[in-house]
Amino acid sequence: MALRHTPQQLDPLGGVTAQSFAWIFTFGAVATAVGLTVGHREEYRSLPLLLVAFALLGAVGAVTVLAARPRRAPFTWRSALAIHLLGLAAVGFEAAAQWGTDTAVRSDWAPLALALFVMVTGCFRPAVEILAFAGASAVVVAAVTMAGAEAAGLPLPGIVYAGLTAGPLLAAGSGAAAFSATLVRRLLRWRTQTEGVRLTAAESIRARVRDDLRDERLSLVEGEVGPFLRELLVRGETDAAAAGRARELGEALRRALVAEADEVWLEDLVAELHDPAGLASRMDETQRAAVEAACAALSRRRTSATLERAGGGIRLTLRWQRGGGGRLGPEVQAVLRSVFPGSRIRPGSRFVELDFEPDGG
Amino acid sequence: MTPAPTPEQGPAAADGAWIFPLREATVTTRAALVTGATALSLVLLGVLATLSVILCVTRPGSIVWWVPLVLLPLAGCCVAAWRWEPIPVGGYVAIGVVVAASLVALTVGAAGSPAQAPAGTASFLLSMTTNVAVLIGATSDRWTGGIAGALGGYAVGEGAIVVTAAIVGLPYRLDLPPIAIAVGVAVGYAFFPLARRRARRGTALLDDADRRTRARRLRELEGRESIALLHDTLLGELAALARRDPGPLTEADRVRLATSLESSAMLPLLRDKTEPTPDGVAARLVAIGAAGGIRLRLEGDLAALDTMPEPAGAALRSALEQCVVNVARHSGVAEAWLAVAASPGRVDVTLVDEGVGFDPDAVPHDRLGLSESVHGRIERCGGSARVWSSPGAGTSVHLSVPAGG
Repeated sequence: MALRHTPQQLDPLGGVTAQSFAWIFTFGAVATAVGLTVGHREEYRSLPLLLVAFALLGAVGAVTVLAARPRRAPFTWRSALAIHLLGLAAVGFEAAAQWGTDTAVRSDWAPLALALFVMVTGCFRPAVEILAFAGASAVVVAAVTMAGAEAAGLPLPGIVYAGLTAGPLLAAGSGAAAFSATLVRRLLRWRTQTEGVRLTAAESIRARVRDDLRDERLSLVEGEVGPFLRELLVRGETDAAAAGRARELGEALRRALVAEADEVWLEDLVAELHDPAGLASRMDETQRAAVEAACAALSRRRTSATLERAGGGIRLTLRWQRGGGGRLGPEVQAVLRSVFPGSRIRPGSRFVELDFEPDGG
Repeated sequence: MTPAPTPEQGPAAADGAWIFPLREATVTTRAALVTGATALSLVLLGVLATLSVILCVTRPGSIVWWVPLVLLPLAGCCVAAWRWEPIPVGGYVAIGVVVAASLVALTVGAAGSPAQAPAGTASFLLSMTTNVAVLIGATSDRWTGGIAGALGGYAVGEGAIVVTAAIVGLPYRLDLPPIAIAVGVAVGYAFFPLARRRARRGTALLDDADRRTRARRLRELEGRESIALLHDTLLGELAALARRDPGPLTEADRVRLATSLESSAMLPLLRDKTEPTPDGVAARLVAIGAAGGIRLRLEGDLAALDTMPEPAGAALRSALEQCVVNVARHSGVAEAWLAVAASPGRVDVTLVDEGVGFDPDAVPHDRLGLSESVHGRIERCGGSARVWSSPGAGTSVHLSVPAGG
């Protein structure tokens, strides 16, 4: 169970923390590549191939950093696969750039850089996938290294050199998988352990809501309807005036109830709501909470919300004005993406588009 | 009128489980880092042991035979640093001594191994085991979150190698990877709390939003339920009074008025109470129909109405009562048919009359009978309600509710 969940699914804010480490590890990978290339420059005989390897390293870094951005959450398996494929391409081009002259296998930077990027995936991807991808990549890296060692005529068995490049990659994959599995296991355990507390909190909210509602209903009924009916009970008969009064009171009560039934939860949160079809009510509770958080973050800006049908689902667009303080922070972006997969978040253009399937529809 | 809210319970229900608190995140991340570092170290040691064995087998004499054995105490230190809780001062000393002794032995082994000696202190054997020493230090550090441990691990490992190399005559080579890893791990550990605090600063905002949403949602659900009840009781009474010919109240009128007044004062509490239906739901529906001048003909698995689990049972009963009342008030006929079909996990009820019918799309916006008392109730319990009618062609209402609890 723990091996198939992603930490980011269970804790979107953890993914925001990990974004910083995507940058740090990318910087570390580039620094490693530059340092080892400079230190062992005599081993490289083809500058163009080396430059392609560096370009591929840059591409891996770009994929990693972009996939880790809260506004693009969650980090997908496709991004993880792209990291491995681009990283392996970099391994291949680096090997080609020093084909026959790679006398110090431990100075090959591409396998080490790939190992660093694999460590980043531990924050975002499930353990099983990390292990599978790292294992497969380690096999490819080992094969490339063995072929390069053969071409360079190195003295020890090729498998030993393969272990020096593929071993750290495998170790990084194992470490990242263990990191991911531990996070997921503990997050699930926390959810189970605190379930009772959350149920108690929900009951307390329910009790408070019922008390408030009861007071509201009593004041609605006791204002006029209650006294009228009691007076009728005491009098024991009706007349034309009572019938007229009953009609008046019935219409007033109906208007009050219809007005309440017409209330839309999103109305309280935004300055303008365009929802002619009443689609806001089709959002589930977690989606409502995420939208409420976004609106609270933007509360000092004039925010408008539009709901419309889009394809088979519903699209909520939130737009807000420039200035006024408050912003859609990375944590809210991550939560929105987690709750509304595929949503488009453009804080620079001051809008978000959130697509969802109608709840219970 | 906005559509009725759907069931409050379900996998997507907001219950705060999606917001992991900062304190928990700190402990959990640390545990995950320690486990990850241990796994990385153990695999690295496994790879080294495998390579050493391969060298011993394929190139006898290229590496001293006991090198793989020296890796075992290091693996033991990895596990101790991970699982030993709390580690006493003596424990730290023991781990430090074992790590240093292992690296001393490995340096001696490297000096005597033709496959390692040319690289001096930067051979892969010593380089990778120094990395492991760094990770053992970071993992065992219970005070500074890994910062001092990483640097201390490097100092112990590299110190043991340098001193031993000088004694056994192994040339010193500056090995950058362990330095980079020690500094990287220390900086990473130092940076982690900052990054986490920054990412978690929205926790309060999300917590508040979660709480407000839950309260708002419960208010909506309870409010809709009480709207339906008010419609069925007080609004119904007022409408009946408005149509009634002047004259004295009958005993039945008095009882009904008193009951409506009483229930309206208890509205939000009624949902938890199962209304007693001693003669069964079907008999009650027949009585309601009879009171309105309707003869209700019943067929199918009527007992299923009495054995429905709550809250679906109460929702179905109330919705059916309102349907029968609607037939009595609006159909203009004296007969209606009610059919019940029970299947595993679901109960379906169809009520048909051949009365005047109506256009469901033309029902005024302010009529709450169908929208709240029938559709709202049924949909809130996870069921569905459909109405087929047209002027002059009678009306069919189909209610389908889950019966699986």
